[in-house]
Amino acid sequence: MFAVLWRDANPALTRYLRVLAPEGAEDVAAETWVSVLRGLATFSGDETSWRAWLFTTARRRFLDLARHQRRHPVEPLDGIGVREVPTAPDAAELAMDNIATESAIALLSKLPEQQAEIIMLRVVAGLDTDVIAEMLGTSSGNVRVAAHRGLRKLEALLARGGVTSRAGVTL
Amino acid sequence: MPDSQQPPFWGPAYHERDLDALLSGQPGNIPPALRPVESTLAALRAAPTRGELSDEAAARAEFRALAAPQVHWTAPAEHGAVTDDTLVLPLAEHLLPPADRRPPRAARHRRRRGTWAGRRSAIAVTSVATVAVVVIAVGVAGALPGSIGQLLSVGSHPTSAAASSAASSTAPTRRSVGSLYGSGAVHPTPSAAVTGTATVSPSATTAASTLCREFYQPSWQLSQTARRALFTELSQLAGGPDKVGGYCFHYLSAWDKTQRVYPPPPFGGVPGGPGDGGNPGAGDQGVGNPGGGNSDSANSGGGNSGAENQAPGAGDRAPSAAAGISAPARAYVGAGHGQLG
Repeated sequence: MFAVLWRDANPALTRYLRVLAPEGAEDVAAETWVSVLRGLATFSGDETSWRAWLFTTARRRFLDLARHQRRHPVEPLDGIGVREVPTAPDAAELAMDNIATESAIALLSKLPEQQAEIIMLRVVAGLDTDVIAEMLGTSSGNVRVAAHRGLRKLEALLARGGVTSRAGVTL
Repeated sequence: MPDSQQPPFWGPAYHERDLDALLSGQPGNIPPALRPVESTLAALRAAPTRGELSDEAAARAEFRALAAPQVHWTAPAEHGAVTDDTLVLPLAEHLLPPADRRPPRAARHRRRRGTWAGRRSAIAVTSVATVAVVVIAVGVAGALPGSIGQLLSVGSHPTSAAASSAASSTAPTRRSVGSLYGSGAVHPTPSAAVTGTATVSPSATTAASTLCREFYQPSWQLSQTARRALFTELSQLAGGPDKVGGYCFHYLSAWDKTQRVYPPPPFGGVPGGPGDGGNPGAGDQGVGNPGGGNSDSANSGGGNSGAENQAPGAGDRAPSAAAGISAPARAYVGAGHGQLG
């Protein structure tokens, strides 16, 4: 049962977190699952509620990580921003797996954080506007406007010219 | 910019509903301007890559470590449903809810207290049993002093029962004597002290001996009323007032032979009657002599001590205890008294 849930939700969770925190997505995802398992006995609801609960937990763990990093800043050795390069486990996997997903995540990471987060929650997590608004503590209209703005920026980025992945996606 | 280079005004390339359709993943007529965006969002919705599922084993192991104890906590009755494929992991104590951790300290102490209480009760029972056995053994051996020894010896000595019955046969008189002289318990002389009384039962012999010894106590130890009552009783036993002397002579001489120790006279006199303080069960302890017991050394109140026994009504003292006749008897017989004067 857990394996089914994990296979279904973990890829989306990881992609969502890689947009928010590319350098610590795996750690935040692990913390999220630990929190979910501890509270699994108290959860009740349908699939939408499950997904909302899971991504809400992930967002809280991400905020915890962000607060921790603000208190304990880490200076990278190189001057390259993490968000400027696609994150991937290693080159071999990139060669074998579909590079489009990685490229899409990297492209989405260039959007403003709130817009990127809302798009990820809408597209990857499959949550509707009202649920996202409740998660973020804002109105549904704001969520909708932010999502539209993010898509327009994404379209502009793509139109500005990028690379074409193996899947034929023009980035 | 020349007009030829101006993009033709076709209106907006896409509408809000097109963006909503992109976000919701509904297939439809997507404007060409949004097709790259549609492809990008489709890449985000793509099937999980191998790298994204590579941590499944670790996640499942984590789930077993965390969720298996949870299943145990919430449904312990389902243990019977565990199959061979079920992986049973040891419980991590720091993950257990407080209720399933070690029992509270009070409960542990209660358990310890219960064990210690059981041990204490066992020790108490053993101690009481040991003390009871020792007391009974000492009592049977006759080494207990005072009334405790009397009680135990009465209950255990074979001749004591007969003595008690004999004493009860003379209950009226002895009650009257007891009322005069105190509350001493009746403890007659054992039958071993009586010899040559084949026709008389041991209890009757003991009672007669006791009465005779009481009667021949010093005159200042008995009132006239008590002495008269004793004499009346002895007269009945002897068959007449004139036969009391011979009757008691027989008993007193026999009783005198059983005495082994004669205490020295306190003031130079010859030893008188036998003191019975040193022989438990062999002496007269039942008449309630004022001040005292029958101990030879502690009889300060003029009890039945051998050192102070004198024959009533007789001025001479017995010349020797080796004669086999007690001093009271000799004095009485020698004086020729048939009744109290």
